Amino acid sequence: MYIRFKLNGSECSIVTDPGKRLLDVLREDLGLTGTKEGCGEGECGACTVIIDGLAVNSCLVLIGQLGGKEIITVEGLEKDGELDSLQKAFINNGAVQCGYCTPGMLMSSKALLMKNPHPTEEEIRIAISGNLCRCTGYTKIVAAVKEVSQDA
Amino acid sequence: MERFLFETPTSVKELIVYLKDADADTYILSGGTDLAIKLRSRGIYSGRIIDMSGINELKHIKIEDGFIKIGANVTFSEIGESEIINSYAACVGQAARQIGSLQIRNAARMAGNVANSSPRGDSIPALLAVDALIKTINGNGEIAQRTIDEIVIGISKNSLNKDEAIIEMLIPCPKGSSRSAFGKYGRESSRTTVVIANINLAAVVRYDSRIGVIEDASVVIGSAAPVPYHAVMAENVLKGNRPTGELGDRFVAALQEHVKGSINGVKRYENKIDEVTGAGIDIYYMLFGDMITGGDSPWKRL
Amino acid sequence: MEETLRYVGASVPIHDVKEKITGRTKYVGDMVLPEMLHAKLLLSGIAHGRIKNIDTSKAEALPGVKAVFTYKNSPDNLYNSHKWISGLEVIKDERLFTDKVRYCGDRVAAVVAVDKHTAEKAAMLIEIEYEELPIIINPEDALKDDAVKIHESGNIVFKKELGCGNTDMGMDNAYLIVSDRIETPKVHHAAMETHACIADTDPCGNITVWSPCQVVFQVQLIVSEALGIPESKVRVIKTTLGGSFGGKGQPTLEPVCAYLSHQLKKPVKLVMDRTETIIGTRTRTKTIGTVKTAVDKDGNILARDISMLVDAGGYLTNGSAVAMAMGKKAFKLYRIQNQSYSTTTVYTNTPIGGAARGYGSPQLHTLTEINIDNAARGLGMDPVELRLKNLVHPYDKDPIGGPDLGNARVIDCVVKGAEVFNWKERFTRQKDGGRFVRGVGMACCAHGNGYFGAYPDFITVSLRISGDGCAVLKGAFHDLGCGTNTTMMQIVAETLDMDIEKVFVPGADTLASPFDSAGTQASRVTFVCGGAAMKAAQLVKEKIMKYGAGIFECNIEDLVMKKGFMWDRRKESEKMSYGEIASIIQTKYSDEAGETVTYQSPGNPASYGVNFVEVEVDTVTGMVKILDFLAVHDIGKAINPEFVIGQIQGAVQMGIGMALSEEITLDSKGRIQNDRFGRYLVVNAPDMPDVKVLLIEEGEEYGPYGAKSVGEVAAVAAPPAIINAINNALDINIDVLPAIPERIMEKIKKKKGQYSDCL
Repeated sequence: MYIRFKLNGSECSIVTDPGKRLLDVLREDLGLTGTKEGCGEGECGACTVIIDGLAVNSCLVLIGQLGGKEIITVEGLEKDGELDSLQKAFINNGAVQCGYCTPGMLMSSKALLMKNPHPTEEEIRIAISGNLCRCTGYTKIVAAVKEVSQDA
Repeated sequence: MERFLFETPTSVKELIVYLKDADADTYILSGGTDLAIKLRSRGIYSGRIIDMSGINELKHIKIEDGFIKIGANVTFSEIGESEIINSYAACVGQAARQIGSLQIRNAARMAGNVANSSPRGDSIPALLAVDALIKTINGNGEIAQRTIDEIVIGISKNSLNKDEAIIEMLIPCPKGSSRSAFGKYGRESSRTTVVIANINLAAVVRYDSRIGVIEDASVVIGSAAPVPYHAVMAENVLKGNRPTGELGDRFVAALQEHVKGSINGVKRYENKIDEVTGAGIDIYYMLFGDMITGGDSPWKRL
Repeated sequence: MEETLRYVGASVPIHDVKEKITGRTKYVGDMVLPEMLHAKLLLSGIAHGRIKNIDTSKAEALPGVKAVFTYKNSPDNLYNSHKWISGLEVIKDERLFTDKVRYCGDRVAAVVAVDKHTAEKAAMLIEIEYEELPIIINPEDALKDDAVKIHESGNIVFKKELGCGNTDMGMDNAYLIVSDRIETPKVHHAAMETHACIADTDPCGNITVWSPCQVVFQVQLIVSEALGIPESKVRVIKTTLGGSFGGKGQPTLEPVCAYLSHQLKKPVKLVMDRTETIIGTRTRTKTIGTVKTAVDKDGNILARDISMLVDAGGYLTNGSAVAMAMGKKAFKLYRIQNQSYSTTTVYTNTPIGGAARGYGSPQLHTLTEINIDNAARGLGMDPVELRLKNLVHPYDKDPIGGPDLGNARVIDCVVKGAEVFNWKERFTRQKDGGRFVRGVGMACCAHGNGYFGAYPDFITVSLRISGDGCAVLKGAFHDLGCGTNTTMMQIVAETLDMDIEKVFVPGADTLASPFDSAGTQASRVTFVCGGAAMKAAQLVKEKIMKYGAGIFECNIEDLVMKKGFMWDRRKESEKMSYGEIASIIQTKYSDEAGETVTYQSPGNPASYGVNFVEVEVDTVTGMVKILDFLAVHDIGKAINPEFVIGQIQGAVQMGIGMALSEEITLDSKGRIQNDRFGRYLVVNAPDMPDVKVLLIEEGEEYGPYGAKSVGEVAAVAAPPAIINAINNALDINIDVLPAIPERIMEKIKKKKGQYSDCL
């Protein structure tokens, strides 16, 4: 099947089995391996991407659903070589250890901030409740998102 | 080579055309958060998928003809945030906000949750409590309306025909002063969010605001039996009475009796009794917290 | 002269943060090699049985399938994946593919195909007929004489006793003896990256393995033993780890993947999904412990008797080593004159135990620290007070002859922590009535710093300054995401006084890294490997100073080394960069501005942690909410405080899981019930408290800049502290972890009457 969508700001079209997961298309067909698989059932959030402004598990979306949609992956956060303020905040706050949950955490947080630039701590924690991290205990991640929301 | 055929109808009219050819290898995708897992775990590599997400005419939440109408193409996030839902069917909104993670709620649809008919599904008890009707359409273009208990008939079993798709959920507009609430406890842990229910509970009450008497009550217990059911004893406890601390005791006791009956002495389900107690107290205070007169209940959060 | 530190004590970001934050980091699952094939394992669906017949023909016939491997066409060399260095005596009981499955998850077969999808599909087509055998799930059943034998040798694999003084005599003099029996669960490490590996084989049969591992030389050793080929034919390159926590410590996929590639002479990628990782790799070892503590009226501990039943699961791996490690920790926390420890390790038909953050320390301290609190309850004493009477002091000896405890500052941790936490007031506060009841708890713990005193502990590192002024530290460093490489960079930059941007610490590679005896294990990295980095930097500094004196024609004492430059203190204007100096050393003296050093660990002091926690228990449902958490740690010196705090906060998340929700549960047939994240619940952001951290930095003599370990010890005190808080809230005695709501409710219900008004 021929599918067209917008990916990280650019038009993208592919021919593929529409029953393939978006996660696999990103990683295998498009070489965008920043998006990770941690559970394959929407429980860990490592595969989170933003579709039409909303955080979604790319392991639970079939590529056939994506026609005409706009997708942002972790690779799309940096603009013209400049890190997104959220990425900078993750660095400044020591929110990255092993880094495997990081892309998903960034995308869930980014989607939150796109919709709600000044979230409360509770809203931040709910926004990342579907993103598991085993390294940080979440404190520094929450602090990073807070920092951006206060600067905005 | 095995492949899926993927159809994205853009109108109900088109949907009918696709449904006409539906067979055992046809899957209706409504959000897809469960379907994507199912296809993989069952090793399904081919078939026909009908994706409902292209049908814009089913993307509504509106009040019409005495019903709150939720189109099949509305996500749980949209339901949870809907002013209409939260004003007139609060328990449905609360259930929607407690389903899975935010990522799941952004994709999953209530129509899919109903069709899945999981005994632990959160939206089903809420919809049953508000007497929702499920509107479907089939390959012949025939429209049908059924109650939740007519659709959800067993563990992950629905009564939908292969060529039949849910297009709308209809919630009768509440009459008079009414309130509703939803509560849930997950299993085997103290985790409070992103949990699969071990017990869920939805209640709707109509009351006379002048004299403070509960006129009618609909209480549904989910995750305790193959399908959610009305807790008739608990409903009867509430009907015709004033919300007091003592009535709360009796309400919770009735819920416990129901769950005891449902689990039928199976030891590993016994914790459901404590959970329905907790959910019962939570819901009772959500419904009547501001109305209870006299006496401090030991349950009340300090 | 007061020295100010530039990098040690500074919070430098982790070295690969930019790549991780942009998604550019290639974890092994992200790597693609030309002509790469994909493998899928078939794991046993039953817990115990002999394979009567295995039919792979349908799988082999599927287009795209290259080969299927089972016990029939693979080596039967036995190995023990726990063995990390040659010379270590181990019981070998594991092979690549088994003909007799010993737990649900045992490796039965592997399919190699042109793509992942085909391999998965083919694996489903393999048909197996088993002769099912009786199963043992409970380790206590494994002790019975008539129990079915899981391995030929019998189910009891290891027995050992340790002790000091005369325990019986101590018991005889007791005012009070407090006994407890505590079960700790099998826990999944839950690194977000599942297990994965790539292997490639060149035409000469040399294998290269890319693995997110903790010990490259261990992977090399195990691959060589399993395949029966020389170690020199195997090269192992560590890839970026998406977390490990001990879970990737033992090679599980590597020997299999290496074999597949070796047979097919192509690169093969093997990636496990979450379910396979939960059931088919390693778990935290389950224990059933009993403890008896004798105290006098004033709370002085007179004697203690500990016994640990260790459940190794289907294969031994480190089942004996972890049993010993637990025992040794029992002698490092309190001054107990008379103490005995005995342990028995058994096989069961359950997932395999292995290394897990803390290496037995959480299991041991969960048992003993809950017991200490119960002793305090029995005496009507404040548990803080009881502990302060008995805790070890700096420079105490280990009573069973282990390495000295070093600058043991656990008392400082308790005193300062209690003050910051406001313990006294919270502990003596009147209990709440009603549905939600609050309680406080605390616990102490001890952990080591490497293998000194038990196993070989040394590392060879090579540090060289190049002509461009950069310093490269070669060594088998395995950053697991904790900041190992950055820590080494900080130590080198500090010691040589140069910009950290010019210090490079590549990851471990058996071909490029000098030998290291143990990898990232045993809380040895900062203490031992960091010590090696510092030593190498000191030697390089000495060397370039020596040459510098010649270059500047002055005395060594007159030389200044600062921020990457060297000069004669009398002529700063003539300063030269380290790069210029290095070039001159090479051209003029035919030497390198570098040194290689084999650094033997000089000691094994103890690190200490003390956790304070406040919980709120819902007496109707048994749900527990963590309201406040303070972790106090005696770490000598924090090389990178942000890393240290991050380690502790993450470790507490694991500790809360072990206390409240995480347990691999089995049904009566030994099938894993919670084999995915939808059922196996780790703590997520809304339930996780903001863990406050207090560091006691009093310096450790043998550690680099005074540093000692933190990564493992940080995961130890949380489970007992939380259980103690629950017990304190409800005056109950939780004896099985995790304290899931129904276990709490069971205890509440047993305390009849007291809470009847709520039910």
